[in-house]
Amino acid sequence: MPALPDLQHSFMAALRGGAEDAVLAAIAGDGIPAAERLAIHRNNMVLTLTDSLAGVFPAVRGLVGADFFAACAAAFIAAHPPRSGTLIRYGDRFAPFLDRSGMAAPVPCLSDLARLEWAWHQAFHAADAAPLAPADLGAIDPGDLPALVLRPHPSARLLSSPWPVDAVWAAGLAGDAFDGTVDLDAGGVDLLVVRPALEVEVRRLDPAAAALLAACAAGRPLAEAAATAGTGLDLAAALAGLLAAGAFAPFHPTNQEHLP
Amino acid sequence: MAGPRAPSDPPLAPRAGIGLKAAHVREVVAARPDLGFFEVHTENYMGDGGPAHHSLEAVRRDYALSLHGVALSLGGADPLDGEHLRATRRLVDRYQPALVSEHLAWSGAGGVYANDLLPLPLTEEALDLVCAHVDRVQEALGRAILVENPSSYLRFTHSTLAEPEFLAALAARTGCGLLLDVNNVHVSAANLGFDPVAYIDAFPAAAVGEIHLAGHHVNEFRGRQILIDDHGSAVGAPVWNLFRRALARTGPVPALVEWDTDVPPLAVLLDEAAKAETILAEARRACAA
Repeated sequence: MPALPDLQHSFMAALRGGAEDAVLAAIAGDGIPAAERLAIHRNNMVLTLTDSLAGVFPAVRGLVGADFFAACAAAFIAAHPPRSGTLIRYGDRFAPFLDRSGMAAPVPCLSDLARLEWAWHQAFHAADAAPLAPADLGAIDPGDLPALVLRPHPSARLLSSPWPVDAVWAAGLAGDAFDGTVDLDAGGVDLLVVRPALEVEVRRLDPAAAALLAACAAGRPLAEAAATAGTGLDLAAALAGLLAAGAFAPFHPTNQEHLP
Repeated sequence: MAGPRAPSDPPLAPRAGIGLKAAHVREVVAARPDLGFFEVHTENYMGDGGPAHHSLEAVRRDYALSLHGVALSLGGADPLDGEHLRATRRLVDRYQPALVSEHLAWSGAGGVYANDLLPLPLTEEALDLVCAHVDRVQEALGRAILVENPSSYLRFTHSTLAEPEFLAALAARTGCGLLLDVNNVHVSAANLGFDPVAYIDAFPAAAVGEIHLAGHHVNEFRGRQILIDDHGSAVGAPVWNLFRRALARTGPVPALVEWDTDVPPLAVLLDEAAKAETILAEARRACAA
């Protein structure tokens, strides 16, 4: 009779494709082979985790089809099984896995599409906050603006891709495999994924605005962030656009850490 | 060891409820159907914010809530996941559910989570472990939980306790309540070859704080059936009969209709809940008689 920790370790190993003998020896057949009984749990692990990933990456699935997606998911689950029962956090390594495993090779933009969907998923579940409003910025003494630290909204994620991955995303959600409607040579995009209220929004940013937001997210004061963004930046226009998108977090009411 | 505690505080009325599905939230909030409560999977609300919480807040304003966890791994030989337990506590504090429940199962080992409710050998060793984990969970949450009987696809040859006996000892030692899933009883009885009615009759009725009802899928394996607890169809006639049999012993208790895959329109779930409500009303009359 195996001790419980040993039994559970053997059982998990068997669920993940390892040796079954020790576990099968402890299972009663009762008319159905023990291996068939164990297989129900093995299938359940892969199928339910595949469903979970399909919920997070619907456009990847739509783009490559259910069968190829299931193959990618099964390989990912084998290589990177969940480490906690909070499945909301499962899938962060899917995009890098698609690159590293070579599974994305037939569809070069696939891992960037997975990155976009992971950003969308994170934005969906991020902490709620009313975004910084233009009036909040207007209330700052102009002399303090250069040293002002603007923090990104808790839901905000930036994504850069050499592909028009937002168009690919829309096609994938519609379940259209490459049918000629997406021009992959249309050039790269800088995307802001953000949820200022209840709806997640995916917007294109011009590269200078994206660089400004990235520098702000890195904690740079506004003047320094603007310098990082380069000569192509129209600071007033970029700030207005980012504020309108809800890209910044509100100033914390109880401290003034955003001020110099 | 935890002392005896009421399974729910404040007590939940012995009425029918349904699982809350994202696709139904808008209709529920607008139409406010006459139901005893809604149940949700705790893990689906472990994000920091967003539409899921927004919807649950809206539903909670009008209804009692049951938080049903699927990942605490009460039967896991690994230590409980402290972060998962703290996340559960935050949800309990935020939503003040009438019921909090989990499963007699384990969910992973060696730091890998299987996303399945895996079977335990029913031994004194497992009983001690589950009791210790239930004590710790009840301590952390500051309240009693309900523990649900599993749907089983296999049994271990070294089990020494019958499941009702195991659950009775768990309830007696920890003060936890029990969630009797009569569909699981039906599924396990078919898969393991025991008499579901005898199981219901042996179940520690006084500890039951909730009953679950659901549909299951029938698979064929070389002329033998294996029932899969997929919560993807209407409640079957044998399961309604087990529900009546159970209520005759427990008296009226909150009853939930679960439907988690191939989710139908809200009206279908409300019909199922109405059937459960009719049977609960019979049980109330029988109690009063």
